[in-house]
Amino acid sequence: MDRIVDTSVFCGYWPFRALPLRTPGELKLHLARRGVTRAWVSPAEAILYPDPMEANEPLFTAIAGDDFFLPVGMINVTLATWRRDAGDCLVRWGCRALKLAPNYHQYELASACVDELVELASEAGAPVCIQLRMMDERAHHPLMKVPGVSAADIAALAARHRGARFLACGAYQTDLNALREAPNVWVEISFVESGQALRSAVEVVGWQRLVFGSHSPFFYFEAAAAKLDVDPSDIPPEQLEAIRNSNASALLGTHDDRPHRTCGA
Amino acid sequence: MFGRMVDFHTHISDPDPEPSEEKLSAALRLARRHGIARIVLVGNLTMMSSDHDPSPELIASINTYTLRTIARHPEVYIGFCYLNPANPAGFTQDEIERCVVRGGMRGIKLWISVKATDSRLDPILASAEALDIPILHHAWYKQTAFSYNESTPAEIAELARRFPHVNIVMAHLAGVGVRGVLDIADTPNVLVDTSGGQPEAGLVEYAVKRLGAGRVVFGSDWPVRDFGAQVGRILGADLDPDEVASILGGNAARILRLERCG
Repeated sequence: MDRIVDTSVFCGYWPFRALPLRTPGELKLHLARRGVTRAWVSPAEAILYPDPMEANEPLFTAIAGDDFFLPVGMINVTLATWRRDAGDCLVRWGCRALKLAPNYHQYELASACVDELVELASEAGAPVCIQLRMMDERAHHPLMKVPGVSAADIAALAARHRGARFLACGAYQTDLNALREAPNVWVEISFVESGQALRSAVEVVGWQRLVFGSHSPFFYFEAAAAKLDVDPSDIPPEQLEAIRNSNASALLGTHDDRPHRTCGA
Repeated sequence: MFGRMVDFHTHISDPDPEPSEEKLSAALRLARRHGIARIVLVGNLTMMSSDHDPSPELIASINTYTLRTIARHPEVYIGFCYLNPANPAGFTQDEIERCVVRGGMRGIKLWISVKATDSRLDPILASAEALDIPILHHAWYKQTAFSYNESTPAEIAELARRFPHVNIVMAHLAGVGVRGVLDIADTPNVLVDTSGGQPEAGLVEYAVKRLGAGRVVFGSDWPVRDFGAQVGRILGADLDPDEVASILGGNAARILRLERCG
């Protein structure tokens, strides 16, 4: 079975529908059976809780010491404590990446605190994951319609921080054009789809900046995995392997993506 | 593993009114890679998207493209006759005669020209009933703006109640969602295809739970979507192998009266 690094996984509860696989144990079993050896995981509740640390901390406590999971701390930069939260995620909880949800937390990527967070993450060697959307906007709850994050705004942020690394999570195929000239932005493939999803994505952003993401457990894992099932004449095996696995290490800025926790739970 | 797979909902994107072998071969190569043996072609998307209220001339051109495609690859392609109920009724009946009766198409595709509740659909549904062919009808529930005269699942259900002997396949399970499934739960002649939106985990199982596996058919909406990713929705669902086999091919074979897909 091919080794897969899944860079876009959530765990927990979501108020708009019953997610399967709500515990880290269930999620790990499900993903590992499908070839995943590493899952970058954030708590689903952190999208809507007033304090995302109330979701980060229980999840990171539950997965502490389990190298299958790479914890990705969700930070809300509009909160007074975001600097401390980001520091706690990086140092106390061993997060190797931080995640932002600007549309749910209601701020612009052009805001000064985002620049500050990117600098803080960069100093720690951590990429910043930006969640463009959690679900198809057409299917939102009628009382909570949340527009997607502008991919052009991500490209502009990345241009201001050439030394930082970013991961665009939940990008549509149509978002990719805006990221074409953003060499420090990687893209995970969970929402990317067209008649030949992976080949089209490679044509726009290049294979070096694509990483596997399933958006589990919101989406069927097999839907993303099947995008990797392409003819070698469309995408050579070594490029496919990079998308499936090693590009995630490049995004982390290391050839060894094992964690370097300074402190556990 | 699950019998011969039938994709109940595909297009092709081609600016040329004459199908090119290069485009058809590329589509077949991608479909076969994911185990798809038969493909329902409901119209050239490039031509369909050019006008939401297509003239008789455009309708005829789109259907001619489909007829030529199924003539090239009859072992794979199954043609559906694309119609605009707002066109003159005489033309529409002639087009059904040309495409279905004489041309070998096996169903009718209705998109967003008029609402499913429009009485101008009645003669089309009556013909479908007489010919014993299914209708594939677009539907969606959207929190964003609807496109032109898009129908909701509730409107599809209303149409189905008027024509209880016609099999109507409502497109886009992931577009109509839970509410859409419930809308058609009590209209047994409505099935749903699995295309549309994103691959929300649990939705296929939900449709099977509420409708039964016999009323869910695999559809990809290729090339808007990826064959593999769309098959993955079904293979990723927590279902019995028999249910998966029904969704991936058995149900389509039944309502299209194909040779046994086993």
